[in-house]
Amino acid sequence: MVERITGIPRDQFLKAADLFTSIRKGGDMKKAGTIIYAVGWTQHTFGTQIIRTAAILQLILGNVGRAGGGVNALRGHSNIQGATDMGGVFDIFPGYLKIPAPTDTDLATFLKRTTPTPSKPNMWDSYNYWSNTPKFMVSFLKSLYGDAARQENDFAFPYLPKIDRNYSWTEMWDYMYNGQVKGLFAFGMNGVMIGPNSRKNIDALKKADWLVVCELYPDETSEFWRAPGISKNDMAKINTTVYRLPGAGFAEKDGTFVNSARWLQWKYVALPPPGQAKVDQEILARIFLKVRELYRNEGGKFPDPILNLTWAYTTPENPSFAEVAKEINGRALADLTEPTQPGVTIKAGQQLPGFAWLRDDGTTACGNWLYSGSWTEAGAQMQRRGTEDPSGLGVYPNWAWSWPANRRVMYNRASCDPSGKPWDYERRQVWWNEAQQKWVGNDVPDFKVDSKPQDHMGPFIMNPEGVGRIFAPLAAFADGPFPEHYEPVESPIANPLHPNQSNNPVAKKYKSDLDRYGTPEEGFNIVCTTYRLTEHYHYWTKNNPMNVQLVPEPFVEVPAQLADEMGITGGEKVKVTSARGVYVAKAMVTKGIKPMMIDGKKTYQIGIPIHSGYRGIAEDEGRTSLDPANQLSPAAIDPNAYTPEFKGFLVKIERA
Amino acid sequence: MSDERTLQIQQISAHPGTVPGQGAQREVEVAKYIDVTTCIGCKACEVACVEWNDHPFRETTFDNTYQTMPTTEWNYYNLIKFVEHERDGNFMWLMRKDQCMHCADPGCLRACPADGAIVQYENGIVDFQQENCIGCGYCISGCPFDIPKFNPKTKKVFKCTLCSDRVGQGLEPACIKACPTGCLHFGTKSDMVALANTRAKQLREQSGFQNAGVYDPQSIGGTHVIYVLHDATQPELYGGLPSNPQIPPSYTGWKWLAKPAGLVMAALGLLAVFFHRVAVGPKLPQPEEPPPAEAQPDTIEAKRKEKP
Ligand code: SF4
Ligand code: SF4
Ligand code: SF4
Repeated sequence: MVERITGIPRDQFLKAADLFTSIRKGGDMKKAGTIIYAVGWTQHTFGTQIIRTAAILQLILGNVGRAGGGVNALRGHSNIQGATDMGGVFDIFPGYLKIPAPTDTDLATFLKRTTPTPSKPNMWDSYNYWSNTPKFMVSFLKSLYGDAARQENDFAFPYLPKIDRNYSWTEMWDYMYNGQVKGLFAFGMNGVMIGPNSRKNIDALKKADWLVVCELYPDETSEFWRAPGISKNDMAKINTTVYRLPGAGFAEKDGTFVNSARWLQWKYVALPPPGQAKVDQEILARIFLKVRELYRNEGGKFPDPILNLTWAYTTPENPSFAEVAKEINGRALADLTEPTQPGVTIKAGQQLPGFAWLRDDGTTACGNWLYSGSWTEAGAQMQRRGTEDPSGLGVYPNWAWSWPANRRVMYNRASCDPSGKPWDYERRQVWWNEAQQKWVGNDVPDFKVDSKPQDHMGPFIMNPEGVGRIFAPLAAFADGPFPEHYEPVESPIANPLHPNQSNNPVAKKYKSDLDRYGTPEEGFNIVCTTYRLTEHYHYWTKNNPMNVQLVPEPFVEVPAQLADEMGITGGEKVKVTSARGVYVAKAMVTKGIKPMMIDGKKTYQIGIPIHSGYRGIAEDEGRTSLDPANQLSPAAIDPNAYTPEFKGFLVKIERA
Repeated sequence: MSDERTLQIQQISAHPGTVPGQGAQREVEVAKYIDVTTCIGCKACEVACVEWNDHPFRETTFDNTYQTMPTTEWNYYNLIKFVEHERDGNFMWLMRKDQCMHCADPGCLRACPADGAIVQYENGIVDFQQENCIGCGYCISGCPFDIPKFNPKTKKVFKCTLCSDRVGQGLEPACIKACPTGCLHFGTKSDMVALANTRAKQLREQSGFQNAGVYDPQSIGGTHVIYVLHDATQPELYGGLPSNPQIPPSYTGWKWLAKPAGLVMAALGLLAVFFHRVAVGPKLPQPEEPPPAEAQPDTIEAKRKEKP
């Protein structure tokens, strides 16, 4: 069956499976295996199911919490992890706190809904660390609203926006296309290019009233009105007002990058922004101060959240990232003592040493509980550059700072057997120290530090049940408690497991006139995938002559066998058509992509790098094709992560 | 290991008389070790090389390959050669970083008739001194790796310097610094050979590449750029790396011409490490047809692609 669905020959699949599971041969618990993935696994309408499957496999093999184990995401951007940690997603606040819904009429209701209760009785005791949600949330509100967040006004909870629907990326553009979203701020995000179905995105922008783009270069979004196919006449009819703000590049600002190992690493300014360009925080601060002034002078429907926002920076129109980072770490607002740490007092105004000190009574402020401990009274932990590795495990505890609590491997309690002894003594991470009656180790234990092994507390302290989730509780995933194989929304075959429900029943497809989905019967019989090249970084390195020199033009990678059958030679132009659009570029004929036998059918795949569009050095000189690759891809999204399906859709290919 | 002392000159092209300051013996030979098996073809090293050497950006054209251009150029010293390869019916990329090999016995230097246009430092780096280059192009035909390239505007020849300016200051070459995968290493020759051997052994024993090995061709006395190849028995697969590089015989005695025999004998003692590899005695060479630069349109002019 695996062979029928994936096209991987049976013997090769078994060989890989044997190799990966061989680490536990004969009950050996010493070795660890890791799974490292990138968007090839996530950009599907069933991406979450794939990652779930990996997590289950790792749980069953005992590869979670182990040095060298885990399920690890490789990020396509230097700070994606940081963006997510800090709430750069529509449905979470910093530290993965949930965003209130309209039904959360007060703080108590919200906290009751979002604070999990431990599942008891249970074989395993549960620490249920998320039971601290009220402390994280109130401290977050205090950091936003300071003195304006008081017990009497529910710590300013009513100021927070309530999310009434899915505002994920693809949805937003759909709303804009349908005339419901009237304006867009695009900061370092080339919306036309990055989303699926570029043609729809371009048409959506035509309908918007205004668009603000903060970028290093004019890009396909800020110049959507000159997309290929828009005539002078059409152009005159576009009424969208476009504001372009000169942003600064990564080397022109300080701050942190957070990598996928969760290290906050401080970086320094290499050179000042050129010309009129400004760092992000200055641009945002100036907009905010202007908006606040307008509210102050003219009032408005609800001025309080704007007027009361804490903005106590030394230079209000350009807050330093050092100040912002300290604010995120959090500080005491009153003198604090802690029964578990007798004799220690944190004085009002001092930086907090970590999230264990957070309070739900308004005596602490913290912008992101997970980052608490990153900038303490001892200084900026994320600026540390210690290269010592006392355990030899590659922990490097003094290099930068890793959330949470400078812990390098999460769930590291699982690196020990139930009695608290390391599975692999040679590579011991943490262990129970009987004499001290606590967990100690080469890494910061991810556990209730004084919980005796015989008390049977589960190692997965963020789950209310204390154990790993092989079978997920109801409502944790939109598409069910256990992974299932689905075909992409556009697939060359019907799902061999259940042809009547071929693809994910809860994946979202869109209904606009530009959202069309193709079938093999209509002649779309080639599988297409998109990707990036190591030579380019998304859509802005095509403005850098050096990168353009490395890869001067867009191309379509075509399997050598298919090229032979069709008589296509390398360098010749080909036309790729999907149900949504046409893409023309030169063919790169490669032996690297081979035909696959999918459910008994010989199936070809082609690949298109995403970088090229209608703005860049070569594009401006008229040297290359001007089509965005995503003109081809469908707006169809995973029901949990809302990630579009870029990694498998249908096209046809012909000589141009 | 790599400081100014190592930039002590050891050999000079067509130089009558002794090499100044020659003869101090120390373990100063440097080497670059390239693990071809972990290169991802990102070309960060190409960019670093162009930027460090302050070369202009070029206009390239799509040529049905990931490779930036067909060969290295006078202002593009470092090129990843991309080869699509099939092994047991499975596809694999062979990606080899091509640049000057800094041969222990450099054919370019032997071929060069201009005093001081090519020098070899004691650390093994072979460096072109353009102010002394007469543009004759002999070095081009003397090189077994097709490395030196002619600049038609200045009529001088250029190639990778192994970043002698950086190495002289105790820094690693720019390409090494830029490499994100760690497949490039720099250090003493003996350390690099040891590292390379360990890696080759690992590939043979753990990764199923029975023919993995180190490329450090002894036919030219070894090189100061060494490779680990998945298949060291077939270096040609990797974009035409010769298994047995040879300096054209016409050049193997060339430099003796310019040197009085006595000085040659004196130098012989001091430079035994290099000269023992030269099997010929001090007789006059007969370079059959040293190629004049203008007679080389295929290898020089035709490859110009930069904007005028
Ligand atoms: S590779 Fe060619 S140019 Fe480089 S040292 Fe050897 S002979 Fe000279
Ligand atoms: S050593 Fe220096 S000159 Fe040679 S390829 Fe590397 S960067 Fe270029
Ligand atoms: S920088 Fe390193 S990995 Fe990238 S192409 Fe060069 S040698 Fe290969």
